[in-house]
Amino acid sequence: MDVARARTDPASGAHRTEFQERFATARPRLTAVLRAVVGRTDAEDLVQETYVRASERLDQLRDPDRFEAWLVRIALNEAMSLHRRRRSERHRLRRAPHDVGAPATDLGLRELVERLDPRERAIVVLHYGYGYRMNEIATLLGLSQINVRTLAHRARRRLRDELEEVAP
Amino acid sequence: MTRGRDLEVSLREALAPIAADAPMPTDVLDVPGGSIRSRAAPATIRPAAAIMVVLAAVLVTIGALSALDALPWQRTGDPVLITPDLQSLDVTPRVLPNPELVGFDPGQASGPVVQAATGTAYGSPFRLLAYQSGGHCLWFSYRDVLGGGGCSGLPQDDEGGGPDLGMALADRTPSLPGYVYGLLRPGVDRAWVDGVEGDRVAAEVIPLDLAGIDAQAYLAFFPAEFAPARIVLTDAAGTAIAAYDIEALMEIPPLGGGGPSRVPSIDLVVRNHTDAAVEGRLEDEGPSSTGSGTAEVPGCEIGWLSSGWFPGVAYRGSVNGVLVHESVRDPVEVPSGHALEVLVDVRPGAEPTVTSIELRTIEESVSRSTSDGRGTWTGRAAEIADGLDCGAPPDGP
Repeated sequence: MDVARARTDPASGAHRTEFQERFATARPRLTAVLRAVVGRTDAEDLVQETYVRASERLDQLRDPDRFEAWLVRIALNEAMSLHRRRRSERHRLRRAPHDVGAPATDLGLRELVERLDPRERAIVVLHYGYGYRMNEIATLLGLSQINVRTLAHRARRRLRDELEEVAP
Repeated sequence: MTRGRDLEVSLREALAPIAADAPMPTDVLDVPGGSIRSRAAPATIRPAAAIMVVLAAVLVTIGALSALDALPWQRTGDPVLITPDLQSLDVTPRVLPNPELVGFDPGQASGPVVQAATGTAYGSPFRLLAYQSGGHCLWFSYRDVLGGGGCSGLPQDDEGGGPDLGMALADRTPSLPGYVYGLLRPGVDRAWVDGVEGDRVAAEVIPLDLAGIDAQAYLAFFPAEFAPARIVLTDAAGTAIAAYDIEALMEIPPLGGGGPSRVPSIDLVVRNHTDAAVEGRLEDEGPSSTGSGTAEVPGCEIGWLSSGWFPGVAYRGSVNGVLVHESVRDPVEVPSGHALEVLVDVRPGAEPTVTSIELRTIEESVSRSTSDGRGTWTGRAAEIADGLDCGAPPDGP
């Protein structure tokens, strides 16, 4: 089979229109999930990024009935990619911890979660908010299970430390 | 205030409304991973800062390989050719006048050290060296593997009948791009690695005469989502000569033994409680083969090195140059289907310490989690990671 010819051209008229319509329908849920998992700041950018990536990979959508789920998975992958791109910048910020961020004194647990590193935050939200198991989170985020467990361990430790600062 | 299970309860209570406010599609886990990633650039979707180090190296000696019969290759259709993400590749063999400059100890070699391949795969530089040292040896560095490999006889000298492959080493860590390399008899034109889904990557085949080795090296990289099934050898026209099941490489009988068919292994597991990276090394030395693997375990992570365990072979494990396990000093019989786990804890300001030496079934072993291509991590790996006590969080994940 000529694989190249069998692929759908996402830029072609009919497919593109249908894709745009379905994306528009899915967009509210996608945005809501991204806001919950990765935070409000990055959610809109990630929705746009997901649109671009999904349109490029439309030929890889094997089950059209799972369009929304497919978009969420792409979005979560893009979120992890975004995190990696920004990591070096965050490292610099962390070396001056007193210069960034607000003190945790007045923050509740949910706000503390939102201040976590993006990967840690995603894991905590997916586990404690959505109830996914660690192996499922590994699948969703494209990380190894051991990586997920280690990040979860760190996240809990950070949260515990922050909470102890608030109420020693 | 909030500790242990209390924190978990508080988190569930605080975050429970999320699932109602922003419901996740119920079938989100049913989306195949490959459909959300671009095969042309798989490095962008894997954790670039893969913070655990896993080297699943299976050293297959000539004698052991004799138990492996070439499997009939049943083609059910043209395999889909996967192009590995190689940013650079040089497979022109050349003698390295100063191999120490690339991290190789020249004292190991009894003759010239030949660079068989070098380049960058999936964003990480690699190098494959060939040399002689009482056997025919390969040394490989890539990603977290600072240098490892092994020595064996020539494939064609094996009297087991029809061997084409010599030693074979592989890393198939789930979620990371993998590789296979080893020795191949002369006269084989091409080698491929076929995946379980009918996909295929081409292996580089490199002559080793410059190193005085009457064999060829083969080396293949594949993306994280590729699950290798077999090494297929063909002639120049693409006609199959033989196929070797990669899974069988891990399930061959131990040397000289019948019995259960699962090869025993030794796992040197490093649990690094410090914030600084440590270096683990596992060496083996037998009458007809030697091997070694060195890997870096980042701060606040676990990592392990694995090797097939064979009677009569001495194994030495070290961490940061400190010898922590020597099998001749502490001999243990490792039955077929089992792994000897040597767990080493590294804590701030202290020398690496062996915490436990245990026999586990292969299914319960830490290294088994890397043996099914894209499989999941075992509970044992998670257990060990749960025991990490790293003090202050490191500067970034």
